Amino acid sequence: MNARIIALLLVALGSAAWGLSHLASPPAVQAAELAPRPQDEQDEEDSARSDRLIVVKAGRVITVTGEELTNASIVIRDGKIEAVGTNVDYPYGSKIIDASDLVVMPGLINPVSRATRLDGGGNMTPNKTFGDALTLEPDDLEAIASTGYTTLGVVPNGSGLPGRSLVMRTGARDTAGLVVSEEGPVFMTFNTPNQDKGRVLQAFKAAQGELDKVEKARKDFEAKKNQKPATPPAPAPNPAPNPNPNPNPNPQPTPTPAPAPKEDPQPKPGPDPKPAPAPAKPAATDFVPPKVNPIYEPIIDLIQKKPGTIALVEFGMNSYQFWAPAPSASSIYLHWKEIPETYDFARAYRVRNSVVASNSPFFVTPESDLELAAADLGKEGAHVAIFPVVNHLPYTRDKFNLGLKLLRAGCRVVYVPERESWNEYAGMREDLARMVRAGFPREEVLKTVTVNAASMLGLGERLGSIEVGRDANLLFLTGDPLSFETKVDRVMIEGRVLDTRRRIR
Amino acid sequence: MKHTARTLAGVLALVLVVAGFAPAQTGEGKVAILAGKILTMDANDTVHDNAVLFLRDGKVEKIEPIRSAGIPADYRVYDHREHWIVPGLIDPHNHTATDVNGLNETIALTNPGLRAMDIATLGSNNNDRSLAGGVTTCLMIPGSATNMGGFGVVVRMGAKRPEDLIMKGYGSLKIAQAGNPERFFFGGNRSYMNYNLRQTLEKARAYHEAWNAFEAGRSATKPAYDAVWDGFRGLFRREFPASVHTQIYQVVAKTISMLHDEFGLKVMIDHGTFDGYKTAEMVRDRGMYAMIGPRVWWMDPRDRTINGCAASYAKQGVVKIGLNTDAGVLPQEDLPMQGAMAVRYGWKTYDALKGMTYWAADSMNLTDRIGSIAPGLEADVVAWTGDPIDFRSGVERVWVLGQVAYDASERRLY
Amino acid sequence: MTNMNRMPSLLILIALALPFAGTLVAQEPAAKSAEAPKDDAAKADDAKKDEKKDRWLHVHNVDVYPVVGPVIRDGEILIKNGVIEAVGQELEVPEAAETLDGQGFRAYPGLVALNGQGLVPAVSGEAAHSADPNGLWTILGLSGGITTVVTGTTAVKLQRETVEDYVLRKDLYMGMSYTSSNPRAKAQLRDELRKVYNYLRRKGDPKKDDDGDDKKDAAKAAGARPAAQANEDAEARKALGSAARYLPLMKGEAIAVFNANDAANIRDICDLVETFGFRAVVRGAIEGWTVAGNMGRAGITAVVAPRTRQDPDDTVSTPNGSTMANAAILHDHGVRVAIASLGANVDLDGSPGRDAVALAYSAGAAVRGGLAERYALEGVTIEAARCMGLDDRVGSIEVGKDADIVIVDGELLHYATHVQWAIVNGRLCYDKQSDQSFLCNIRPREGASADDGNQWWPRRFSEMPDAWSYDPEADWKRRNPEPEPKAEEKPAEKPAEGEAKKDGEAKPAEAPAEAPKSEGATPEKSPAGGGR
Repeated sequence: MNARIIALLLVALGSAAWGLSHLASPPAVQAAELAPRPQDEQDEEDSARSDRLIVVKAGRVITVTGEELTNASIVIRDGKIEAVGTNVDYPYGSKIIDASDLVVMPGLINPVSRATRLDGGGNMTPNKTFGDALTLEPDDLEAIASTGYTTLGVVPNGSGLPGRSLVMRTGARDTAGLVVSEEGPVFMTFNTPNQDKGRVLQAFKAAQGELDKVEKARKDFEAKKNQKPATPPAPAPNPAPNPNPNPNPNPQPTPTPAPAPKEDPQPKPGPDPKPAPAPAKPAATDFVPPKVNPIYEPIIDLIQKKPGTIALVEFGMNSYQFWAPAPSASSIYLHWKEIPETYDFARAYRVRNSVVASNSPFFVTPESDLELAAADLGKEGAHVAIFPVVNHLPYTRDKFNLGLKLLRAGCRVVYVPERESWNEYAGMREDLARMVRAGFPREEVLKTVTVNAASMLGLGERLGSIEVGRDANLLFLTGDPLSFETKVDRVMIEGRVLDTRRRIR
Repeated sequence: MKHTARTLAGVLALVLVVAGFAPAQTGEGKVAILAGKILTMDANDTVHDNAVLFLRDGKVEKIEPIRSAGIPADYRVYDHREHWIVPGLIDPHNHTATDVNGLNETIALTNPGLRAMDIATLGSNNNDRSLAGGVTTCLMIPGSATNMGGFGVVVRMGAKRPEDLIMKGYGSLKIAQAGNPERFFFGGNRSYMNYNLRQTLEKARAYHEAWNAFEAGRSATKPAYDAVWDGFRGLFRREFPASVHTQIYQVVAKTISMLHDEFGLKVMIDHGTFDGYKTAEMVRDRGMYAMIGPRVWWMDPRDRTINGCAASYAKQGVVKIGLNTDAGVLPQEDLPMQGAMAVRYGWKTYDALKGMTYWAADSMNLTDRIGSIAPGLEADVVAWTGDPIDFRSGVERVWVLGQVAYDASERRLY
Repeated sequence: MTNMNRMPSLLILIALALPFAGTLVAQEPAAKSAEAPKDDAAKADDAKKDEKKDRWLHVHNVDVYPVVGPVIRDGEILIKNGVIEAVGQELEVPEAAETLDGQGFRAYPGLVALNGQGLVPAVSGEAAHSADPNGLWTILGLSGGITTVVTGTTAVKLQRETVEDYVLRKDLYMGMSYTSSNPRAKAQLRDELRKVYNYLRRKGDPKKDDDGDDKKDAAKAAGARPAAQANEDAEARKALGSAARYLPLMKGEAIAVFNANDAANIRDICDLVETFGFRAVVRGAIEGWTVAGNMGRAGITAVVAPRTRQDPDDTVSTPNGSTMANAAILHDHGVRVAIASLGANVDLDGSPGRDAVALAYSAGAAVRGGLAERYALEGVTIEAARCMGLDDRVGSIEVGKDADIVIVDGELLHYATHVQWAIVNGRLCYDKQSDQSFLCNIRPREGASADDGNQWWPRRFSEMPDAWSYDPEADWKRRNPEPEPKAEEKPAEKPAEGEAKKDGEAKPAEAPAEAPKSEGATPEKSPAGGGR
C-alpha cells in the first residue's frame, strides 16, 4: 500500500517537474516587443471602443499549420485574424491582451458532437437543418467552452440520413449567435449496413434522378433552341460537361456556378435550382431548370462536389453485443465502399473505436479492425474521427494505435471525446498526450483537434489554425497543450474573450 | 442394420425375457472375447492384434493369440474380430451421482465431512448412456460451489449390485480454489478462500498427526474419533487425491504451492484450463495430474492462436494428463469427444486414450483394479468399432465385471 | 429432377438470351455503316477486357471428392468467375489463372449448415447488406468447412474480404406447423390446403402446362409471363383468400419446413404430405426412426442432428426417445437425410465439438449410428442443399456449380482433420496457415502430407504414424526461426498403408481377419504413445 502511494507521489512529482520545465521557458525571455506601449489600452475587459481591434501578445503561438512562434502578436480585427508574427504593426488604440506568459493555440473543434440533442426528422431527411433546435443551457456551454473547445459540429440523432450537422460556437452574445452554419456535413449512419446501406443508396439514386431530370430538361431546351436560329448559341459553359446520361457521374468536373458569396444573401435555398447558372434575371431565352426535390439537395451538392459540402458517415455500434454478432467495422467499410465507387463525393468518417472489455478468450474488438480498411481509407485521404484510445488488435490483447495506423496510411485523423461530458472534453488534451506516448507524432496530434477537425466540417478556410483570415478562435493555455499541468487560462471566440473564469478557476 | 420399430421392440422383449427368466449361460462368469485389437493401456503400452481376451469371475484372466488360443467349451464367446477392445474409460470429474445439485451442498464455505458415497445411486439413465459412451467408471465429486465440497466417490457405472457400485468410498477430496466459491454467501475472494482452506486442512492434519502419534506409540492418549476429520487420514496418506477445481495460471500455481508443496497432498488439477497450462513445468516436475476439461482449448490473445490445453501441458513434458467432462456440463458419454477435441487441437490419439484410462486410474490409486487390461484386473472392457475417440466409432458391447452391461445391438443409446 | 426444377433455369437462359438477341438485331444496320470496323474493333477490345476480367482459379494436386460421383485421384478443378468450369485430370488451364497447389490433400464441396443461426444471425433488413466478411464467425465457420449457411429462410455464403455474392437465395421455404397441440391451426391448415388443391384441380394442373412445347414456354417467358402471372395471382387471391399463400407450395414451387420431433406429430405431417403431395422437410425428427416408414412413403426429407439426446419416456409403451441410429434407420427406409449440427451457437469458450462449427462431427455421429459414411457426407453437403432447394448451386463438386470447395488434410469426418483452404465463389477465403485462421499453430501444414490423413484410421496401432502428432520442438522452431537455415526435422512419415481406410464406404472396414492369422500377442509399443 505504502509503495503504491510513494509511486503515485513520484509520478506526480515527475510530471510536475516536467511541466515546470516546460513552463519555465516562455516568460523567461521576454522580448521588448511584448512590453506594452504607453498608449495601449490596458484594460481588456470593458472597453467597448477597442472591441473591433485586438492585439494578443503571446509568449508562444502554436499556429498548428505553420511554424511555432515565440513572443508573437496576433492582430484581430472584427473577429478575424488580420496579422500574425513577431514583428507586426498594429494601430494605436487597439485593445491589448497580454498573454506574454501564456501559450496561444487555435480553439479546439469537435466535429461529431452530440452535446445538444437534435432530433432528426427520419431516415430520409438529409436536408433537415437544426438552426432553431438549439437548446443548450448557458451553463453547459460555458462548461464546454472552458475546456478549450470553441466549435462543435453537432450531429443529429437518428439513423439513416436524419439531417445536416449544426456547426456552432460554444459562446456568443445570444443563442442565435451560436450558429456558425446550419448546413454542416450531411450526416449518415452506416452502423448496420442491412438497414442503412439501402437508405444511403436510395438517397443517392434519387438525387442522381433529380440531376438527370434537370439534365434532360436542359437538353430538351437546347434542342428546341437550336431549332430556333434566332437565339444566340448560348455560351453557357455549364451544360456541356455532362455527355453521358446517368450511370457514372464521377468525371463531372462541375464548375459549380456560384460559389462562396451566394451563401449569405440567400438564407434558405429552397426552390433555388442547383445547377442553374444565373437565376438573377430569368430571360425568356434562358433555360429555367425544373424544380428539384428539396430533400435531395444536399445529396445533389455532394454529387456535384459543391465546396464545403461533406458527407459525415458513422460506422460502429454504440455498444458491441458479444452474443449477437454484428458486422465488424472493416466489413462495414466493405459495404460502404460500393457507394463512393458509384458516386464520388467528399466524405468523412466517424468510427466508435471504444475499447471493449470481454471475458472471452476471444478479445472481440470489432471496431478496431478498421485497421484492415486503413489502406483504402488512406487512399481516399479520408477524415476519420476516432476516440483517443489505444485499441486492441482484433481478437487479441495486443495494443495498437489505430490513429497512428490511419495516419500512416494517409488519413486525416480527428480525435474526438468519447462521451459528451465535461470531464471527457477537459481530458482531451491529456488523452492526446497519451496518444503521443503511444506513438502518434507530436507535431500531428494538435492538428487532429484543430485543422483536421475544421476541414472535416468543411470549414477549413475559416477555422482550425492561427493564420491570416481565420476566425480568431483562440485558446490561451498556461503551458504546453500536452502537459498534464497546463490549464486553460481563457478562451476567445471570434475576438471575444469568453467569461469562463468561474469554471477555469 | 435394418431396424423397424416392431423388430426392435421384439428384440427388447426377447432380451428382457432372457435376462429375467433364463438360467445363467454355460460357464457363468467365463467369457472369451475374440478381438481384432486389444489396447491394454498398460504401463508398457502393449497392443495385441487378433487376440482372445479371457474374462473369469469378473476379472481379466489372460490374453492369448487367436490362432493358438484354445477356448474351453464353457466359455461364452463374443466375436469382435473386427473391433477394438479397450479398457472402460474413466471420467475423473463428474457430478451426476444423483443430479447436478445433489452434490452441491452450500452449507458452509468448507464442508469437510460431506461424503458423496452416501448419496451414490444405482442405475439411472446416466448410467446406461455412460456405458454407451464407453465410460465405465466415474469419480463423482461434489460441485465447486464451496471451497471444500466434501469427499468424492469412485462409481462403477454399469454396476448391477450395490456392493459393486462404489469402487472407492473415499475417491477424492473436492477442493475448489477459485472460480465458483466466490458466489458463496459471503463472497470471499481468492486470498480469503485460500486462508479458509488452509485453516480447514490444518485442522485435518492435526487430527491425522495426533492419530499417527498414537498409533506409532509416540502418544499415550488416544485421540477422540471425529467423523468429520477421519476421512482426511487417507488424504494425507496419499491414498486418494484432492480433486482441485483450479484453472487460470495464478490459481493453478497456488494449487501447486499450497496443496502439493505445503500439505503434501496427491493433487489432481481438475480443469487446469484457460492459461493454466503455463504452470506445466511445475506440474511436470512434481509429477502431478492434470485432468483437462470440459474446456478444451484456450485462445491465447497474445499470438492470436487457439491452443489445446492438453497439448500444451504435453508439450512441456507433462505425462499424467487425463480428460474430463464435468458431467452435467457435458454428458459423460461425450468423454471420447473430449479426447477427439484434445487431439484435434494438437494432442495425440494414443496419449488421449491413455489419459482417459490408465492415468485416470493412476490418479485415484486404482491401477491395480481398472484402467488397463491385464490378468487380475477387473474386467471393465469395451468393444469399439474402431478408434474410440473417432466420432464415427461406436460402442458395440460393454462388459462390467465380466458381465455384458450394454449391447448396442439391442438399442444404440449413443 | 422434376420439370419444376428445370423450369427456372430455362427461364433464366431465355431471359439472358433475349436482350442479347435484341442488341444483335439493333446493330445489324450499324454494321453496314462506315463505322462498322471500328465498332468491331471496340467489340473485340471489350471482349478482351472481359476475358481479362475473368477470375480463373486452378486447383491442382488434390484428390477430388465430388460427393455425387467417384473420387478423382490427383485431380484438378478449374474455376471461372466463381463457377466450376471443369473437374478432372490434366485440364487445359488459361494462363491468367491463379493456381492453388492442394499438396495432395482432399477437396470436398463446402458444407451446408442448416442450423446456422449462430454463425450468421437471422437476417433483418436487406440480406445482401448484412454480410460480415471480416467477422470472427466467418473465420470460424470456414475453419469448420462450412461455406453455405441457412439462417432463417435465407441461404448465404461465408466469404472473406468481399461483400459480393453474399446471398445465395432468399425465401427458401415456408415454415409450417401441423401439430395436435394446436388443433385449430391444424384443421385450418388442412382446410386451406384442401381449398388450394381443389382450386388447382378445377383450373387444370399447372404442371401439365409446363410440359408443352418449349416455344410456347419461351413466348411466355419472354414477356407475357409476368402479366399473366400477376393476373393469375390476383385471380387466385380472389378465389382462395388467405389460402392463396399455399399456392406456390401446392404447385411444387416452394418447400414446407416443419419443426417436429415427436413421433405422433411426424406421423400426422406424413399423412398431410402424402395427401397433398408437396415438398416437405421435417427438422429435428428425433423420433423419426419410429415412423421411418411413413416418412419414406411421404417422401419427406429429414434434417437430423444425430447426437441430440432425448431420454425415452418409460411410461409410453411404444419405442420413443432419441437414438444415434436415427439417421441410419431413416435412410434405410428411403428417407432423404440431411444432417445438422447439434448446436446452433458458435463456441468461443473452448468447448468445441457440439456447436455449429462442428458440423462434420454430426455427420460422424450418424456413421456411429450405422449410416454409411457416404450418406453421412451427402447429409452435410448435397442432401442439405437439396432439402432447401439449393442443389443447383451448391453441395457437390460438379461443373456449373458454385465453386465452394474445402481442401482438408484427411477424411472430412475425422476429428483431427483441419480445413487447409476454403474456396468460396471461386475466391480463396481461408488458409489455415494464414494469420487470420487462429489455427496456424496446430499441426502446421509444413511437413504434413496428404498420406497422413489416410492413416488416421489405422487398423493396427503399431502402424500409426507420428507425422500428425504435435512436435513441440518443431513448433518452437517454427515460431522462433533461428538465423541459421533451420534444421528440417520432420516427424517420421510412413507412406500410406494400403489398408488405410478409403473414402466413402461403410465404416466397419474389411472383413474380419477370417482365420486367426496373427502370431499371437505381439506386444508392440505404439510410436505415438511413447514419444513426446
